[in-house]
Order: sequence, then C-alpha cells, then structure tokens
Amino acid sequence: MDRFHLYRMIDLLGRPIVLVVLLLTLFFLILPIVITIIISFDPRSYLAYLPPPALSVRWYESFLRNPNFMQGLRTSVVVGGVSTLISTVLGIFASYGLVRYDFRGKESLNNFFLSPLVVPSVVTGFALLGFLSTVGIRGSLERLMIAHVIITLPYTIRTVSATLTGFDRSLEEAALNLGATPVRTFLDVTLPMIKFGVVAGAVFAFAMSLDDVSVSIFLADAFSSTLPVNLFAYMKSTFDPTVAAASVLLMGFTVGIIIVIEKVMGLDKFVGIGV
Amino acid sequence: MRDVDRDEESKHRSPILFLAPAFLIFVFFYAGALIMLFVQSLQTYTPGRIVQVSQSFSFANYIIYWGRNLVYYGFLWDSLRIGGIATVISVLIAYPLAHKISRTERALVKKTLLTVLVATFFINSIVKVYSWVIMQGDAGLINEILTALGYSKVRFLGTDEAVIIGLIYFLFPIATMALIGPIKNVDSTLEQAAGNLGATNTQVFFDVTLPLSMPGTIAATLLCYALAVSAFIIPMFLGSGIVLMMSNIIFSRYSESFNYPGGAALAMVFLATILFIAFGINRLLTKRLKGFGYG
Amino acid sequence: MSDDKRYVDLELVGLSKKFGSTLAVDDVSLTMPEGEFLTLIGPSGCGKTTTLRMIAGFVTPTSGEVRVKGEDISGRPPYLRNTGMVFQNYALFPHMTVYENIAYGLKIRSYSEQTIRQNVREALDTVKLPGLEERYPKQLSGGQQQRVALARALVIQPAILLFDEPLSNLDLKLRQQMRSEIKAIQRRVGITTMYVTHDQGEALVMSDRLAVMNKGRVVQVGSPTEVYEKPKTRFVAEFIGEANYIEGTVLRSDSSGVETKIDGQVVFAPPDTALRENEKVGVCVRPERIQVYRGRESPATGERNALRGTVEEVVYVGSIVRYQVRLDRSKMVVDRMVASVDNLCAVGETVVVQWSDANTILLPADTG
Repeated sequence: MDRFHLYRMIDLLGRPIVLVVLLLTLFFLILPIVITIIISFDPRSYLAYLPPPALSVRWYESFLRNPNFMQGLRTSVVVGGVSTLISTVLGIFASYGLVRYDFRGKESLNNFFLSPLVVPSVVTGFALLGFLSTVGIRGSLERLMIAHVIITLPYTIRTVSATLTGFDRSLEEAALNLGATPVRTFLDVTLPMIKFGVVAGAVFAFAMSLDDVSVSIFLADAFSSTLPVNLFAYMKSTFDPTVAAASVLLMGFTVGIIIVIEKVMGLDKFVGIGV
Repeated sequence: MRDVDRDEESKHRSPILFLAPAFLIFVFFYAGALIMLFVQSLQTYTPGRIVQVSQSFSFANYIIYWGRNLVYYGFLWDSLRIGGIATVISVLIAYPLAHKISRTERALVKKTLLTVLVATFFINSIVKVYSWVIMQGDAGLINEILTALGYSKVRFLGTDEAVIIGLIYFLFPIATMALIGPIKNVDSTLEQAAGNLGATNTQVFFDVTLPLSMPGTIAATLLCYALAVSAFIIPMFLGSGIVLMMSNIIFSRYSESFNYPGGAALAMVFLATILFIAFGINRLLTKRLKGFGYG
Repeated sequence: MSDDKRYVDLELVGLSKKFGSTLAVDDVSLTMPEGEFLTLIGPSGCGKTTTLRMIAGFVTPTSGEVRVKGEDISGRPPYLRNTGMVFQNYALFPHMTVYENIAYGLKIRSYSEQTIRQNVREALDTVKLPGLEERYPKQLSGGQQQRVALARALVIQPAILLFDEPLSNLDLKLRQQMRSEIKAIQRRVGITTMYVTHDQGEALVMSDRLAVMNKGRVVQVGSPTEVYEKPKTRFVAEFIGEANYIEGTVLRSDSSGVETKIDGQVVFAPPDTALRENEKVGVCVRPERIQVYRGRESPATGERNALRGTVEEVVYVGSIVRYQVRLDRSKMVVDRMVASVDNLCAVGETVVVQWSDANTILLPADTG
C-alpha cells in the first residue's frame, strides 16, 4: 500500500479511535462522581458493594447537623468571599499595570505574581505559618484571609490580563477624544469591557479558595477552620458516607457556578479567558 | 492604528501606582514568608517554640535531612516520578479533548464537552479524592466488578498506580483548559492550506497543528507537573501512608515533631527543585523553539 | 499678522516626532484656513498617521507646536483639545447603543437631557441614519458604523475634525459613495478637516488641498490640480496618478520652451527659466495624456512630442486599454479610452506615441 493510502487508512481509523478515546475519557470523568452520589444515599455506614440496599438521607443529616462542618462552611464562605474581593480588586490594578505598561523586569514581575501556582502549596502554608506568627498575626481568620489572597491573586491577574490584552485601545482613545478624562474613560469604557475577565477571575478565585487544603491546614485552628480542612480531618479517621453527602452538596455548588458562568458570559468565552 | 506609537508612549509613563498594592502585599507576606522559611531552615530546633529566634545559623538541618542519608531524596524522586507519569498521561489524553473542543463546529457537542470540562475542573478536590478512594477501595466499585467477573480482588489503595490515577483525575481538566488556548491559536487557514496541498487530516495534525501548538502545550505541561509534584491530599488518601510524596513528608514530619526548622530545610530543597524544573525547562525549551521561529 | 490668525484654524509648526532612533515625522509645517479639507497622503510609514495623532493628542511631539485658532494646544491631553476624530476601525463603544455612543461627548460636557436628545437626532439626520438610536454597533453594517462614528465626532462641534483612513475597511462601491457623502457633510457644516489616507483617488476627489508625505516630510502641498499637473518630484508624480519617467539632458532652455534629449530623441516642454543647458532632468508624462498612432509616421497634429516604438503589451480594463510601448532604450505606458474594442493596437505593432508640450513635466533628476 502506498503512503497516500496508508495515511487515508489512518485517517479513517483515526476518527473512530479518537471518538472511543473521548468517550472513555468522559466516562472516566463522570463515573466517580456518579458513584459518590450513589454512596451518599447508601444507608450502610461502611463501604460495601453497590447497589445500596435502600436509599437514605441520614448522611446529609449527619453533615448538616455537624457543628464542626457548619462552622467550617461559614468560615470558608467568609474567607473565600473577602479574599476574592480583595484579590479581584488588586488583580484589576496589577493587570492594568502589567498589560498597559512596558518596563524592565515586567516578565519577572508577572512570574512573581503567578508563582503561587507553581510553588507547592504546602510550602506556602508552612512558610506563612512561621511568618505570620512572627509578625504577630495570630488570629486564624486573618491568617486564612491573607493566605487566600495570595493563592487566589494569580487567577484574577491571569484572567483580567487576558481580557485587557485583547482589548481594542482605540475605544479608549475615542473616549479621550470626546472629552472624557482618563478616570472617566476607565470607568465608562475600560471597566465594562473587561467585565468578563473580572467575573471569570472572581469565580476562579472563590472556587480555588474553597478548594484549598494544603495551605489552610497550617493556618486554621480549633475555632476557625475551613470546610475542606474539616472534611480532611474527618476523612483521616472516619470514612463514612457523610463525606459523600458533603461532596454532593459541594457538587451542587459547582453546578451553581456553572449556571452563573453560562448566564453571565457563556462557557466558551469563560474557557477562552480562563487558563 | 499604529501600536508602535502606543508602545513607545507607554515607555515613558509609570505603572507604579497600579502595581504597588499587589506588589507590596506579595513582597511582604509571600516573599517575606518564604525568606523567613529559608532563614528558619538555618536555625536549630528547640522544643517549645515553632519559630526560632536564635542568632546562630548553620546548615545543620540540611545535613541531617539531605546529607546524612538518601531517604528524603527517595521521597523527592518518588514525587518527581509519580508526578511525571501522571502529567504525561494527563496531557496525552487532554490534548484530543482540547482539540475537539477547539475545532468542533457542532454547538451541542461543544457545549456538552465544555460543561463536563468546567464541571470537573471546579469540583472540589476533596470530592475528587473521596470518590476515588471509594472506587479503588477493597469494597470499591472496581473490585466489585472484578469479583463479579471472577477475578480476585486487587489492592489499589497504597500503590503508586492509585495515586497516579487520582492525580490524572485532578490534572486532566486543568490540562484540557490550558491546552484549548494554544490549539485555538493555531490559525485554521494554515490547516486548510495543508489540506489543500494534499495532506490528510492526520498529517495536518502532526505536521501543522501539533508543532504550532507546542509552546502552549509545553507551558501547560509544566504547570501540570508543578501541581502534580506538589500534590498533598491525593497521595495522602490514595497512598494510604505507603506512597508518600514530598508534601506529605513535610506535613507529617511537622505534625509529629513540630520541628519547624527541620521542616523548613525539607521545604526549601523541595521548593528549589520545583522552581528549577519549572523555570529551567521553560527557558531551555523556549530558547530552542525561538530558533524555529516560534518566538 | 495677528489678524490673519483669526482665519487660520489649524497650524502645525515644525512638528517632529522621534521614536527611539527613528524620525517618524520630520519638521512638518502646515497652515489650514477655516473650513478647509486637507488630506495627508503618502505610503505606509510616511508619518501621516503619527502627525494626525499628534494633533489629536495621543502622541507627544518631540519638537514643534500644534495651534488651533491661534492657541498652542501641544501640551494638552486629548480630552482637553476639542478635536473630533473618526477612527479607522470606527471605535464605537460596543456596550453602548448608537444613541449612547453619539451622546457620550455631550454627556461629558454636561448638556441637558433634552439638548442631548435633540443634538443626537440632528446628528443622525445629518449622516442619514434616522431612527437607529437603540441599535448596538454590532447590529450595524460597516457603512452604518462609519456614519455613526462621524456623527459622534461631529455632534460635539469640535474645532477640528480628524479622519484616520476611515474608509479603508469598506468595499469599493461603498467607499466611493461615502467619499462624496463625507465631503458633502463637511462642506455643509463648514468644519476644518484633516483627512489621512493612502488612497489617492479619495485624496483627489475630496480635498481642497493635499499634502503629500514621504519618510516623515511633507514633499508637496497644493490643490488636487496643482499636485496632479505640476508634481515637484518623481515621488509625487508617481504616487499621485501614474507617470512615465525617462531621464534626459537639457539641450536648450529659453523663453520659448525647453528642449530635452531622451533616448535619442528630442522632446519639448513649456519654458522654465530655472533649467540650464546640460542639466540632467527627468521627463515625465502621464499615460492618459499620450496619443497613439499606428504606423511609422506621426500625423501632423499640434503635438510636437513624437516617439516611435513597438507595442509590447496590451492590457484591457474595460473602459481603458493600457499599452506598454517599447522605445529605443526605454518604454512608455499609454492609457487610452476604449471607443471601440475592435480598434485596439496589437502586440508587435509599430506605433507613434505623441503628446503636447504642455503635458511634459520636467522634474529634478531622480532623487525620489
């Protein structure tokens, strides 16, 4: 068979193979989620073979009635909310400085701001533990907020920078030409245009804050601890389906995020800005 | 519009006002913390304090952990190895999905894939770890299927493979999202031109799409690798205390002994390794790629 | 002197701009009286856009001044200059409706709601787009967006109106239509206008005067007729319109005319006292000013300039046929209107190309 026909055959075979790979991938992605949902309704308190003999919501009750988890949830929402807010504002300003200006060391500065993504979170958390104690910040709530601003800032900078880079400068010039001061131009023209980057950044920031264990674990204490840390501690000793119930509720939150994203900007735009 | 005009103009103005807040916070809390970590690694541990304040500095901790024997190098190597395998597999299976999402014209397919992708990205890592513990447990789904088919149970938890699978599950959405950009940036008219010249779809993919998406693909791979090597809760639960990665080592040593300086010595070498790999490989490869006209 | 300033709307005095080591604009000086439509034209990179942006305030001059109605505005930021600009890509705010786009400049100037509404409506009428207030830019065609951009710039009643290659994104027919409309509006409103383009057709049709730029300098300023009939350099001759250019030596120059020897023959031009014998000149003739006669003999018409040659190429463009005729050592391009498609010369035919004295342009020997 000559080369041309060989390539044609690969083409023809390739399509179904890729399709199979994709389907397997999707299956692989969805299966554990489905299993967790099923387990969360399984009344047995030990992990056993499926299908469950009956359906029960006892684990949801167990989770929602657990004061430790509820405190963790409150703390996570507060810490997440505040740090997302701070991170978003800082991110908008920093992105503006990074995208609109040219200066020596710009790339290094950019890498510096993005480095929490690359630095192991355990190291970040461990380092902050020592440092915050030394500078006298002992309250776990404050510590968590500072840490979460640090770990979420890379996301806000990344998304806002992405939208700023693709932004048509002549729009700002037109506003200046029509008489708007630079501040007014920023508020009337720039800010609405980068809205998507800002929202995407905030979504990432909050989700990553809610996701974090390895930094928060060093900074939480008995009184203020985030939900994932509490779940982590619980999982170390007990493996009952309470965590499954918590997981399903967290997944519900994820679904909420997706609906919000789709409504505000559409998923493909989000992914375009996202990473 | 002549962008060269704008660029030249912007060289004269100062961005300090915009960058100051984030910069100050980062320098103080983040860089400051890491610097203090380094300083602490040079201290000697006295029980009763976390942070040591003595004036004497030495490299004793480094000698203890990294000089006397090779145990910790073993854990570091495990992290690099397991992380590497997981990263390579994740990127390999993420690429087709990212390609499909970037290039498909059927809106419904795109929307479905995107929804699954974004959903799996945002699902809490606790949930991901938990679901794989269930799947891989002795009483988990996989074993259930195996016994149903007549095979004997396989112990998954506590093996390298279990951790790798968990890492892949975690890295895959990240890799896909990171790859969509570079693939989308490959000008589809170039692909059309290749097809016009007689290249089959497979050839177009290997000759045009893949090479042109290389810089972005490498960046995505390095990001995934950094995340994989630093993984904490995934190896902790799926490794069951048998498979230990560096993040687990640092955490458990500290929780046992509260030896902050010792932990710091472990952490600094770990950090240095990752930074070296991430930035080093990035620079090496971008230099080579620039020679091919990518830069 | 100061009385004259009253009628001078825009003055550029020695404007220069250096980017790093590149001199993008080199000592440009222009004076525009009230109501004039002046076009800056030249090839890409000639500095015309940079000059325009210095007037608008987006680029700071390295030296020189910009004066509007006698006032030096060179130090002012763009939002304090009262110059209205129409951008190449229209720059309409995508998140605002047509109404909000046009109203924006008025809002900033704190006009009342009522005044704004009235002015916007009038502006839309002026550009012939009534009723589109509530649409968004992305719902409009290119031509419509173009007009909204113009309306937005006009409505603030600026002292100077600036156009940055506004028609380059439109197709040919639309461009031709918009040219006349823009010019008509400008004349009606009477606003001093500076227009930047690289399209000489636009420049010739729309302008009261043209300023031809090359490599940062203004090479020639004049009315379309002046620039077309009396280009000062080879560059201008070839950039505005087309030109045959053949170098030769002056044989005789007196009050009856100038005789020049090119390619073994003598050509005649109107008198020019600046030219001396034996000077090297470039003889320039526009393709459409040349007649073509078949055969070897030139008929006795009033045209003294006659050269024999062979047709090398015939290009038919519908209304025009273009002949490339090879002479002894050079060639000439001749454009003739096609009266009948059956009567065209053929490749290889011997012809005589002829033109009158008045159509001979003598240019300095090639310095570009």
